[in-house]
Amino acid sequence: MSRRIDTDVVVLGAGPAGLAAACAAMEAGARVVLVEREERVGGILKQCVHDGFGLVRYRSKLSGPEYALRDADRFAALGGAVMLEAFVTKAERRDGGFSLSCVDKGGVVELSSKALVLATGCRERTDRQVFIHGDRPAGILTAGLAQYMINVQGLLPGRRALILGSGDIGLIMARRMTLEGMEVVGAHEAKPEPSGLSRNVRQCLEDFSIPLELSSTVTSVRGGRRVEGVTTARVDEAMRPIPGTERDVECDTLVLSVGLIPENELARSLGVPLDPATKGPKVDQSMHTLVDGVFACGNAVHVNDLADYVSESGETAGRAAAAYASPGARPERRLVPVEAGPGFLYAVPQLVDLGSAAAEASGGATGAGSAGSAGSTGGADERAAFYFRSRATMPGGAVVRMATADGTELYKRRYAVLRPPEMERFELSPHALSEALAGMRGDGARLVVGMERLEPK
Amino acid sequence: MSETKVVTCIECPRGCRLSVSVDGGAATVTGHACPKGEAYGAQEAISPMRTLTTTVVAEGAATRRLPVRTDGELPLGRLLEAMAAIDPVVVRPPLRRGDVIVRDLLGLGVDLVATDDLVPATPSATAPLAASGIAGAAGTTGTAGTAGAEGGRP
Amino acid sequence: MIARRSRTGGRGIALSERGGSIVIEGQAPSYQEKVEIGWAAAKLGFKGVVNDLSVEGAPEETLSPPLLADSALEGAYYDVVIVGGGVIGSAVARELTRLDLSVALLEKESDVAAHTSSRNDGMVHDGFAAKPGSKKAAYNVRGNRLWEPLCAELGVEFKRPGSLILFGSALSAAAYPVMAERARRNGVDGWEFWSRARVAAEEPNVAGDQHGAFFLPSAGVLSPYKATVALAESAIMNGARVFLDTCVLGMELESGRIARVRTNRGACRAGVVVNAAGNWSDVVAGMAGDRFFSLHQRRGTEAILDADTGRHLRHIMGMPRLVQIKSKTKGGGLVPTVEGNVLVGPTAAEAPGREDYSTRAWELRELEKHVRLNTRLAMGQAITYFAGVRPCTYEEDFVVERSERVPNLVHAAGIQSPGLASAPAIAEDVARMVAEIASGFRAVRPRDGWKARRSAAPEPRRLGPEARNALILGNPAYGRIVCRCEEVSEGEIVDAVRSVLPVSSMDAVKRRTRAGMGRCHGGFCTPRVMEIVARETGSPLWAVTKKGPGSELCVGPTKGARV
Repeated sequence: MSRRIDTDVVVLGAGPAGLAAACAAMEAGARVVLVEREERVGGILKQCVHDGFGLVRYRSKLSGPEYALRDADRFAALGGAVMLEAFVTKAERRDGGFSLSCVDKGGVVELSSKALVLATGCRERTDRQVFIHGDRPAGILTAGLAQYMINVQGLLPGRRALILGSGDIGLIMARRMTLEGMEVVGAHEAKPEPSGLSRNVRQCLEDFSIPLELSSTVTSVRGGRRVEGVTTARVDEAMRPIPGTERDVECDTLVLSVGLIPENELARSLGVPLDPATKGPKVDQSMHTLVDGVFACGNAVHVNDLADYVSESGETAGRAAAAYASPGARPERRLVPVEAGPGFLYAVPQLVDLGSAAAEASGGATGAGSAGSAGSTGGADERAAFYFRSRATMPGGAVVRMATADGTELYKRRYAVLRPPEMERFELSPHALSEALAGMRGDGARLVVGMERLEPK
Repeated sequence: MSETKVVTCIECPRGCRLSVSVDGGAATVTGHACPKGEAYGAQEAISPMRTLTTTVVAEGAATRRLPVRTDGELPLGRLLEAMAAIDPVVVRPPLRRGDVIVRDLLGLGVDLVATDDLVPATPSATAPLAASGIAGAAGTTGTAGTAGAEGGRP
Repeated sequence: MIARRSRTGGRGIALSERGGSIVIEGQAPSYQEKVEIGWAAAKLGFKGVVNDLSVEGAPEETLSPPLLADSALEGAYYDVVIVGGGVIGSAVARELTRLDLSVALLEKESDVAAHTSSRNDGMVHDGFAAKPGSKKAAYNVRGNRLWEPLCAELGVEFKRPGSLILFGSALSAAAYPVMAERARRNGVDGWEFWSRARVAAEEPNVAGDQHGAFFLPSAGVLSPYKATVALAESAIMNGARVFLDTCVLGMELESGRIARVRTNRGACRAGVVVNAAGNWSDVVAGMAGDRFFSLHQRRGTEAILDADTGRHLRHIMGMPRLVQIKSKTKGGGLVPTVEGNVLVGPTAAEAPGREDYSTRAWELRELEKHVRLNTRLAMGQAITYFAGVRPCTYEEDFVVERSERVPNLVHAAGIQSPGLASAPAIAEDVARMVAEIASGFRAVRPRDGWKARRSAAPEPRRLGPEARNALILGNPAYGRIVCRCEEVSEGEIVDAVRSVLPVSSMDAVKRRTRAGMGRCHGGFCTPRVMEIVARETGSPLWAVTKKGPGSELCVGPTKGARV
């Protein structure tokens, strides 16, 4: 007979987002089951041995595992239970809640819950998705896989590597591989600017005299059993290889750091609408998706740079999921879209729920009952966090402004510089939200976020 | 003989472009917006310092490597030497995050500390519901609800 | 003896006759021209075309032996030595085990189906497209009938979605009677004309610009590598030996018969040799002094659309242009696989390189036209793409016959499409030919207790919850999912490594279990699969290979000489 577990909130994924969500939901009084497919909690942070985590949340420069341990300890202290090496094979809405089929070494488990928090993180783009043509020898791997092999398995993937993509993971691995004795011959980036943080370009490439070739890409790989070399070429503004610029580079390893894609298979199977700009679910300021009872947080919603914001979104989602799962009437959702102008690559949340904003502003969920215990939903102190990325680098800075459709301004700030690799965050109080939107009715109700580029002086 | 370096400050997200000229061991910084930036620029130009984060070999443990970092900064130019000094280190469980693995690395007054817990290797079949913690410590369900803890084979 | 010298573009081309075949030597300005000269020579009625033209910039390819070298085969004797572990060689092996002959299948890669047999769309053709009167047509139609019961015996899945050849215009629809006649001549099992309305009803997502279709209900699909593995395993279960990483490098003849087959693992004696060596079958024929035909290669590229897309397509579908009916390729289209993906393609390009699987950007663009046939499909759904190389004679037909020169050699060569569909029928004929030859030097009798049925290893993801639960209670490894994109458990990885045809390379495990074939393409599962393979085989973790010796995933442990 397969096992059955009934609970209030199921959190899928025990990386930093899921751990924070599970802790927040438990602190809000909900019963929580945390489901994790790996052998240990911590998610991707387990393999991020570099530091720089927790600058915002803990005012410290922690390494990945240390950062993850904080919430793991907190979860254990709350008496939380996690299913390890457990995998959800199916999720469906049932009886006003959710039913999940899960598999682990003990057999099949049927989980039923009132709310679901998706903290499923993201995966890396592979060579097939960036259309590298050529043979398939050993020695081609994504930066994340190289990181796991080196840091967790203690294996050296090769001796002489070329990195395609200047995203942070690729930069971090350039340094890591060099420190472990590999020769990194260079990093190639198809865009005209690096994709990662400037701090990482300095400390991972410049520190070790590793050249960074911009507007350059790898077009093919040579080698039968093992990589023997790659062909690089310069690219034009549309990132197409320019004929005649091909160069052959000898190496035995090609590391790909060409982007991350939020993992949302389960979200799609539940009919959760995704935002094509983020490739994650559309959410409101409580990280509530458009399917009632399904919340999402962390990199599954949009690819973050800072673990601190991943945790923040997890806390928000966990609290909101606990409130949703608590007995009593739920405040009616009144969703208003947030439209981001063309200067934005994306902005999250894509919606604002006036129903819950009004509830927050009046000091606690209306009729939500006992789940809204002290210190949980936060009442008037619950701020709504907004995250965005600019589409292009604005070296002279920009003014970012959020207002209602009829012009009531909610936020305005001049940023000295904006770059796509650097995600920005601002927050609004529920008061500001509910007051500004008090008069809004009908289809025209929406928030608009605009970006006005400033010229460098 | 003075030499000018351009450095992007990393003390805060502003990333000021610092211009540092070094003359006989003394640095003059321009382009900073705060004292932290000025100090950073000077240090970077004269003797860049870095934290070292890496792993050490673990034996008899649930994982093959233990992540570690220095609890202070080392000169950039000595990082590879530090790595070579760390290569032969082997650790065994139990260890806790924060434990000192190598004291006074390279005699530079900086320790190498664990950044994760290290637990003994466990048999491969584990109970389906286990308590949390990266270490995978024992303890079972509190708030998970009903039927979960039984069922399945040990 | 015909000798003629002709001048084309200033270069000399010499024609001669040798053993009934026409031999072409000299230089061709391009590979395409070399192939066209070969095609022209094929029309002259010789036994075969040996096209030895050299092409500027395209060096002669040589067989590079595997890195493994030992004497596992040294001094052994087998009644039958089959060269090549693709679907043909494996099917022949199984067929031969019905008799009490000793059989050895020699495969140069670390797994069966490593080349052409795993690089096709898995379609079991109906037989319509093959040229009437050709061996392809005859073997295809016979093979199509044999596959379904064979799959039931082997424990592999077979589906019969049927094939829709869409008409793009009223003009092409008028070709129906001609197509029907061809189908009749080939002996195809059924054909129908479907009106535009019927096509739209039976294939709801079909694009609007169709004018009806020619429907062939007998077209099927299966997983070609799973089928090949199943055939090889079934052969082993019935007493055959399969030697992987074993490359035939030469043959020694005595009194005009093959006496010994030389490999990187020693030389064994052989009663009969079967040449099923795919893209090297002309080279292998040459080792026995019987290279009466030669191969040229035609590459095809396919895209795999993600696992969700199969539900948008009910039948195999293509819309060839009229000119296709006469061309050497079938044109390609959309194939719904047994796993629920859609395969798009293949393209067809004459290109040198017997194992050159590199894909070209222009070939991907070619695939667009197929995807447009279905309104719910798009190239953006592609998770990966791959290339295969067809081994083609200049006659563009199979070579399935006893060698005329070498009495104990049987060829199953030049097996291009519809080779997969034809495999069971080719195997029957080859086995009969081998038995005839073997009867010349020993009594040949049916094997006692021949086992037709093979049960496939469990796939927990396909079981209902109670059955899956019971399976995991019996073996917890079936509950630990290591490939999350394809939902593959540790138990299945172990089954592949411990199977009757054990494998230990990542590519082989991937072919057997689908681990690493999903969206993240091995990003998550690779380390976990490596750990399991290393544990099960006793290999150091770093030395687990991608596809056999020389393709180790890592170069060693970090920190110098540590474990």
